[in-house]
Amino acid sequence: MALSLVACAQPLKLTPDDSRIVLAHQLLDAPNPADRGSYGVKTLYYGSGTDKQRRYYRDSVAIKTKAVDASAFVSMQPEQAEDRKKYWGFDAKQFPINGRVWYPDGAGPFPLVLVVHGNHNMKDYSDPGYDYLGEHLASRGFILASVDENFLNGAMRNENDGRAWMLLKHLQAWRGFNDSASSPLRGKIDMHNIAIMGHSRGGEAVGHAAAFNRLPRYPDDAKVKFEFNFDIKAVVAIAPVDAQYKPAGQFTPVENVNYLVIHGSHDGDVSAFTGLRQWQRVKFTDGKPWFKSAWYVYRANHGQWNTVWGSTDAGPRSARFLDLRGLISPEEQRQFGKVVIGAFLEATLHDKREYLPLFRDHRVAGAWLPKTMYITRFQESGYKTLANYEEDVDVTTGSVAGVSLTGDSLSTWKEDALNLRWQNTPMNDNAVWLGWNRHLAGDDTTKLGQPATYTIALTDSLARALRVDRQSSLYLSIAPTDAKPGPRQPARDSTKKDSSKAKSRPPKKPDAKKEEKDTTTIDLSVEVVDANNVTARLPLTRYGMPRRPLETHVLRRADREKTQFANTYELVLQTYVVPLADFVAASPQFAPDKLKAIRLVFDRTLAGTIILDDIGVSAIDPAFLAQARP
Amino acid sequence: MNRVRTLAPALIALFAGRLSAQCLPLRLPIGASTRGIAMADANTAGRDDDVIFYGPAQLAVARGTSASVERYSDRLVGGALSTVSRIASGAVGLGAQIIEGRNEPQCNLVSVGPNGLFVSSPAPRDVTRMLAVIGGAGTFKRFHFGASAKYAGVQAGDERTSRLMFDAGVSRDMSLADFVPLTVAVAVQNIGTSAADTVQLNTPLRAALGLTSGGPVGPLDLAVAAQVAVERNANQPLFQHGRMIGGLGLELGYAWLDGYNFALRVGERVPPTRTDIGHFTFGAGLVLDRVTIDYAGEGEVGSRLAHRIGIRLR
Repeated sequence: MALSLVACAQPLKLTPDDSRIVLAHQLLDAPNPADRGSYGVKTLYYGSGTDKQRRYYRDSVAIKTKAVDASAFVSMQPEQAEDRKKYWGFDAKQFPINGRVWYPDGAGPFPLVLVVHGNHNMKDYSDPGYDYLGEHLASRGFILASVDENFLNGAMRNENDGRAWMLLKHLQAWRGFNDSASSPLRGKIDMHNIAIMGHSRGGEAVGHAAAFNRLPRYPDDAKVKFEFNFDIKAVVAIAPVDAQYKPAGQFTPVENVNYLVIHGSHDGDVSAFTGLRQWQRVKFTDGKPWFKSAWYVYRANHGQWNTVWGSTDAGPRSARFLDLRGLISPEEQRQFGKVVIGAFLEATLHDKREYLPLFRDHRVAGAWLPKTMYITRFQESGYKTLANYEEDVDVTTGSVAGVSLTGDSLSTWKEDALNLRWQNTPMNDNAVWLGWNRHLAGDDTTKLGQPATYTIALTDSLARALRVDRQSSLYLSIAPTDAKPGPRQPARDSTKKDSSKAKSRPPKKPDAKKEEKDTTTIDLSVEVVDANNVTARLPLTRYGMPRRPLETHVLRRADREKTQFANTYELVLQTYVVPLADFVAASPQFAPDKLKAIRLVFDRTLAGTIILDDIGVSAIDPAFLAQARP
Repeated sequence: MNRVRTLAPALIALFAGRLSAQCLPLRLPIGASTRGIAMADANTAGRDDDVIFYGPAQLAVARGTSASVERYSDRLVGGALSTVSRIASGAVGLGAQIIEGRNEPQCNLVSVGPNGLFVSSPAPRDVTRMLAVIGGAGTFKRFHFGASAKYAGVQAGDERTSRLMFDAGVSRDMSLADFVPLTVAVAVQNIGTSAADTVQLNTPLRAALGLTSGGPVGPLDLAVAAQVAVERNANQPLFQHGRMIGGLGLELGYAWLDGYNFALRVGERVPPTRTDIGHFTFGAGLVLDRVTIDYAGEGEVGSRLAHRIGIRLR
């Protein structure tokens, strides 16, 4: 009996923390974006002034707003609509424009940041939960408004377009606040520098809002006109869901904004990094300097970025089934938010370019970031794809004409789709799996073969078209896996008779030790070759930490964890940006403008498997490369 | 004379039950839910499969399969089986109950003779009461509607009595003051019974209103079950001459892991009509993922206790 009482609860399992090494240095020489700024902070509420449930929006509004008709975006069962109207005092035809504002005590104009919560118990109001960000950002010269969309919370479905539309209606109200003579915010708002930020379903909604902002009509009902066109420069998605709403049945396309997505590995609500899918879909098409950044935060959860939500991601009683022991503290998680969101907004709205390197390689800010492990993706508008494995099923061709792919001595070479760990949900992204083992099969276990290689070759014309030069950088995104191929079969001499059958021994039984998880650090060399066959080689670890998958157990019960999740880890690839100038420094004869091939040489770890994606080159803004690790 | 005839079953029960502690009560107990019994048998608004014995509406939300046995005394034991399965947006349930007892040879039954005088005759040695129920429920506009048919029979010595009857019910989940969940259920049971069945089968026409509620109390979970019912007295109109009975049960549970919890229960009720069962009930439950083990105790006449043990699979 005692055994059955405890049998299903699993012990705490975490990947050993390497942050003391990875985050050992602080190379960015800029003020910590998590430090309080120099402005005094003022607060106010705007809203209907008639709110039945929220006294702030009834008795304390400094600016009265008109209700909006959101009925085109929100559908409910009649009983549900009736219940909600009874509680809130209004229905979807009269949604209020309510918000709480933190703003700097100064003349302005200040960039405007709207933050919207996601789904939660509608009676446990979520909008006050970003107070720490409001206080912080206002002190640093931003206006932050936390938008009330609690009336869209609870048992609603497919309403994220409504959340997005409401956010844009708030921006319309803000345009009025800036222009109105009676407004306490008159002239203080920089309507040309706007960021929208959302959490959970709100995180999906900001993607829709960025898309709706530039559309003339509602994709699902063209009778509804959109006339927004705000200068949204930055979009922040905190632990977002994805594609709960699909405009016109398609995944939401987002273009030409700076985009940041953050997600915790131990998210007990949105337990997969679904925001990576929207991150992949953000495109830069107008030639302006945009960038996008994704952060996977080990041991962070869903709710600690909101002070109301807290650590129990699935309600007050969820500690019964969520394993909360591995979480970083709420303070650490919010400190991360202040650093990364703060730096992102400083860089994109205040044009403080000194923060840009943080998004290229997070190791430059070891003193700012809470000590946990991070996996980061990065891309900026100069990036040009060579291979992203989306275009066809031919493993020898790249994603643009003129790129060919070859492998040598690889044990594994296959292209496949990446899946999220939650019920194997498609990531909508393909990649290549490359495995190697330098050990040669046979009795002599010390015998090693030549290192395996994987080569991305460019034709001369493509190299010229890409205008690669010394200022360019090479992009790779890599995730080591736990798979370890067996020893390599020695190359056969085809001129000799096949005598192996006669001499062959019965295969050995698998050694129990071989079944143990290989935790050796994965490293490899990145080699470039120019048209003169001059090569230059650098270790990958100089540009980031290639970690094996981070072990993640969200639920207390092992059996339920197994049912819900395909893996005990999320496959998140780390982006490595390698300046070609570094290759020149390593091998001065190397001519970047004659780049002929990029080669991964698996010479630094004897055996392993990696997933590789998004290989490309970029004429990256040098500001991103400042203060790189030596 | 009519008055005597009307009151006869009550008088018979009164006398028969008191003739000897070794004699069976005239009416055999009908409680069939271990958890429900521990909470005053106030189970009309219950959510487990054995709610089929109390009212069919809640079958719409009930789940599982359960079996239970109860020892009332060394001469009387009973058991029940029930199961519920989802079908489309509704559910169907099956239930069966049996109670067996044996009278001592000296036990007598008192009845009213043709001349209006009480007549004593030997009680049947063996008495068996059986009940089989099949029911279904569905949901319409947030109301759960249910109906069930049941076949009850008593074999008392060589004499056999049986009857086909029906139950109907309606229930709804709502909330108190917007926060506290509340389930309200109404059931009318034993439609088609007769005055004779009231005694022999213990199936009086009965109308019951049940409530369940609950919520967190610190780290514990509190559940409350309450019920008021009126049972028809012989052939009298239900609400004019019915016997009002009621009960209130409480459960305090602690879950240390999702799907694993332990609960203690108590109940206080108007004792069931003309049985040896008393007013105080208590019990405990242990949930181990899909398996629930429940215990219930019922105070009986004197200081005796009836013990019931049940197991439920979800």
